[in-house]
Amino acid sequence: MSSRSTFSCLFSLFFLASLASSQVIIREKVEVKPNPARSLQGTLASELRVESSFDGPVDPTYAHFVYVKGPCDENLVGDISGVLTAPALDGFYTIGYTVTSPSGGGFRFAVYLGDSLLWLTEGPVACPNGCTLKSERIIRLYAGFTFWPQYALIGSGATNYFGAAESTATAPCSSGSWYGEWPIELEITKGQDVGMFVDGAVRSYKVVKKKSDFYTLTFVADGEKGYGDVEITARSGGLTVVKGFKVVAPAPTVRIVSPWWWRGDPITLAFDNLPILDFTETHTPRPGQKFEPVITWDPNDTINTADYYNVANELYVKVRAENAGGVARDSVKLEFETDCIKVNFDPPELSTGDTARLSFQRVNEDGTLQDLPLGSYAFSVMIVGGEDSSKGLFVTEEESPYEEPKIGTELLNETSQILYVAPATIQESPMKAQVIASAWELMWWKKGETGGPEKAAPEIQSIQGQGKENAKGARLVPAGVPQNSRGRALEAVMKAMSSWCPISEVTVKRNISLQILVHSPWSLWPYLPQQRNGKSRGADRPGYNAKRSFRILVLDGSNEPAKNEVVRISTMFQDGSGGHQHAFGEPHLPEGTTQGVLYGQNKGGNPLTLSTDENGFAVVDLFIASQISGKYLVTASLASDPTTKDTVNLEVRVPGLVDFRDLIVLNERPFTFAQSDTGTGNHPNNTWCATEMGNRLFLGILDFYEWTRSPKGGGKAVQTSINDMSLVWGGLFDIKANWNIEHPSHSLHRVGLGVDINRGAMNGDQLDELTRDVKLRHATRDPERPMIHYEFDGGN
Amino acid sequence: MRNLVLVLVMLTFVSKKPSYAQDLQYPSLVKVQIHATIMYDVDHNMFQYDYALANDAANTGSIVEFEVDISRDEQSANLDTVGLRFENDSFTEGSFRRNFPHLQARIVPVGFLRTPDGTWTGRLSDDLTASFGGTRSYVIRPGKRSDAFEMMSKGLPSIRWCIVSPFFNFDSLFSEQRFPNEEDIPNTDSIQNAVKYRSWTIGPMAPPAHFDALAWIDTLLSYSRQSTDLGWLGKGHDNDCDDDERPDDGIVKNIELRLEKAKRELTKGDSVQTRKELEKLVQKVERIWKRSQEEEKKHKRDQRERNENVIVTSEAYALLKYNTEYLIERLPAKSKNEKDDKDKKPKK
Repeated sequence: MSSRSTFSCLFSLFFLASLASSQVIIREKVEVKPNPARSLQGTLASELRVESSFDGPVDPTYAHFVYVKGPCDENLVGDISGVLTAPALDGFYTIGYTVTSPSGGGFRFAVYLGDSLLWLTEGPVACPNGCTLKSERIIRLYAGFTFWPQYALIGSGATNYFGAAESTATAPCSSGSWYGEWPIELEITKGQDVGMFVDGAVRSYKVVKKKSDFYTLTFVADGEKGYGDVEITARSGGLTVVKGFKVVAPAPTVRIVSPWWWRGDPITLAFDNLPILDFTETHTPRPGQKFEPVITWDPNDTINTADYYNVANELYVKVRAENAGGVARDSVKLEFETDCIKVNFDPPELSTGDTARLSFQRVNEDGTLQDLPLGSYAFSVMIVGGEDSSKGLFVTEEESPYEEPKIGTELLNETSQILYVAPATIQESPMKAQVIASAWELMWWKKGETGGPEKAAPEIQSIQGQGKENAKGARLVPAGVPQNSRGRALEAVMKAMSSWCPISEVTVKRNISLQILVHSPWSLWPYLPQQRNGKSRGADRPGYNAKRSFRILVLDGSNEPAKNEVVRISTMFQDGSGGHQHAFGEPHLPEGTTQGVLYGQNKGGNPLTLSTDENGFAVVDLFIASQISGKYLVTASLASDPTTKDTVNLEVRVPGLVDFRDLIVLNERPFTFAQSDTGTGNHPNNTWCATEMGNRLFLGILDFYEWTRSPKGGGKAVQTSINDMSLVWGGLFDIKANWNIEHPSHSLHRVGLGVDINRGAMNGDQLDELTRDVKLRHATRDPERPMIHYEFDGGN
Repeated sequence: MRNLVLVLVMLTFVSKKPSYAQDLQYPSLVKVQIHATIMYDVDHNMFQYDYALANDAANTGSIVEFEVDISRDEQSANLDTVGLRFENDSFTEGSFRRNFPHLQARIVPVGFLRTPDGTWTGRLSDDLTASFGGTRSYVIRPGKRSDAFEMMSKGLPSIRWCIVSPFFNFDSLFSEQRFPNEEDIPNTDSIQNAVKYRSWTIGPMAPPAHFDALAWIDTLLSYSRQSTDLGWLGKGHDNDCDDDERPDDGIVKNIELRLEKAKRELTKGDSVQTRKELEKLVQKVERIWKRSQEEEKKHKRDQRERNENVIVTSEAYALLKYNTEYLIERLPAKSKNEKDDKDKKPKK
């Protein structure tokens, strides 16, 4: 028989016997005694053990045994005095005993889970009539236990509630090592600065409770820190369970409180209306409360509009509140408007000490100008950076002789004509005084009904629609709007005006005059230096003069000599003049000494700077004209004020040149003109010459033409092919159009006495004859290649 | 004085430049024989000037141009061009006509009768010369000569400077290979001047517009002395003396004495006696010239070649003969005394 079948048989017998005999209830002591050392923190139990003993007589007609029925068909039956062990599994155990005695005896029955006692019945049983001891109990073993904070996340200072429960294994026949009546020890193992257990009135970091007692246990987040992660470790029956939750700080809130007078409208700024805006805020947690946020402003809680005048047209004022619970923000948008008031000066340029009348215009966004007539507006003006009146003054032109004019570098809300008075002396000339202005519209109303219409004191309202002023010009600044610091305002204006709102300027020049004496147009020969081989380029021509001197007189406003004034003298070539078209070359003659050299006060150059002597004269001892003929503008100007200048026209030219093309008109031409296209583009007029050369060249080439027609010359007429002579005004003939005077492409051809003739198909005898023909006319040949170059009258 | 300065200037050129020219191997003319023969056409009152040029074999240059000074000053007579003839080459006369107008106030008009063969032509130049010139194919090479330079003029024979120029080949002398940079080419004007041959010859001269007989005698005296200096008139024994002359005084002195006598007579106003003296001088020059030609034939010398034994050359002959005859023609027909006597005769 198997043990299982045996148990069933015995159990049936026991059941029948129990029905037949009287039953005695003995005192039964049931205890739960977990081993303190092992049940909470010890090793896990692996078996269920039943210890039983009976020392009295037993009725042999009855069965006497103990039994254990486990969750996985474990059926164990043992002697009434003996030990049964079964594996501890998750599930229900049915455990019992039965014994029948005629008189009783000592009885002990104990069930252990591991070392912990789950059920104990013991004591002497006295029953002189006999009795049956019998009992059965179902014991539930669990895989373990669990507990829970009620909230995974709670706010700082809040309370978290706890609960506990057994936990069963998910797989059948898993180990069961915990008994539901066992107590559970809870300990705050992390986050003790966040809070602690509160059990009734007891606060602690560690408690021991049975699961059924958890309802009285709470966690209160009122620790020193008050927020953060909290970890609670629970131990029972050798099992450890850890749970956690987070205590968070309260999120802040913040809200900007704008100045009371500002309703969110755009703020129109003017140099005399640059308020300081103070912002405040409200926030939570409130001041004094735990977790009050840190408040920061961007850019600041005080906004000086001067810093933004003409720099930006909008600004966000932002506030930020931050604490452990997070960040809160709020912002306010400030819109700035600037009315550009253009100041017109009549006249726009002044001499020192002179006066200009001011008029005003608004510069609209589309750039158009709107007149702001006097009488409808009051104006404020200020000289930028000229508080010491070094850049002039304003003065009002009062209508009434009894009124004192107002004077200053800054005038506010003037309804009278404003004049600008240039300083009597200036450091540098010209001096530009920068002026900024604002305009205020005058609002007129009638003063009472009686007495007829009467012009009442005007109410001044800025055209920006911002502040108000009274008629006397005392600005009524809204309460709570502090005025800005003037210095800061100016700084902002000067930085910004030039790029955004055009700043108005008036030019003041020193009352000084400069004059080049001998002002009639000048004419000089081009400078004709010798060739390196000593050959003249024409400087030996009668009348040659490439030099002159001149003086410049500088007088002050009193027509007294201006001493030690620095004068700058220079020349400027007029493009295209002198025959230098340079269509395929460099069109602009480089500035500098190529345009002539000026000498004076032991130095030379172009430009040349000289200082006036005690008589107001700056003397150019020597001016050597350029090698390049053409029109020049000689300019003398004050170094300190280039607009104070005088000019004189200079023609650098070889006088008396004529165009060979115009000189000779014949039906039958003994010559032709041949010049390359590039040459024509650069120097379209290349056949200018001295009259004597023209005549002689003509006779020479006519003789040559006739000679070639004659039997001695072969009987076949040869037309001479004429190329470069000189430019219309002579001078350097740079056929490469590069202004190169150091290595000129034509070294000669400067005074109308030289001519290039293309060789063409001429043979040696014809070349000799042509050379002779022009030689008889006072010409010599110079070996310029590949052309034939002839020079007349020893010229070039 | 002006001529002296001119001579000095030219001597300066001749003495300084040839070595420079030779160093650079430029063609030069160091020695050229120039012989002038002058004939007078009484019917047309026209002188014919024939020149012969001999290019010395030692020269390095070939002759390409020969120029004779034909300038005149403002005080000289403005001679006309009537009767001038030109080489029949369909060019020379036309060139003259084209160029004479702007030169007429400053030159003695000449007609170019003949030039060497080839491309040679006779032309007026703005340098106030009569220019005979050719081209490279027809130059007179060293050792060669040509006597085909003929021109005619109403101008009296006078001592004139002349220039003979060598052919100057620019293209080879100043090639690009030799002078890559044009500014480095030497001054060709100076070089060309240096290599020319300059001398004196006989050429036409316009007489003074306002004739002064006494001054003219001084001119004759000057011609005599200059001819001697130039080797055209011998200083030797005078074998053709008149009665009032002494052979030992020599030709030159006797000619000068004759002119001095004429001058004294003219000073006294005795034109008759003056004419006689001048006619004696002409006859003497003819005799000398005739004997000189006989001597040349006798010694078989080419009279165009200069020699130390010269009696008189064609140049001196022309100078003395034609200029003396020009004076004789302009002397008053009667002397001052005769005229005075005539004036004193009572009227009938």
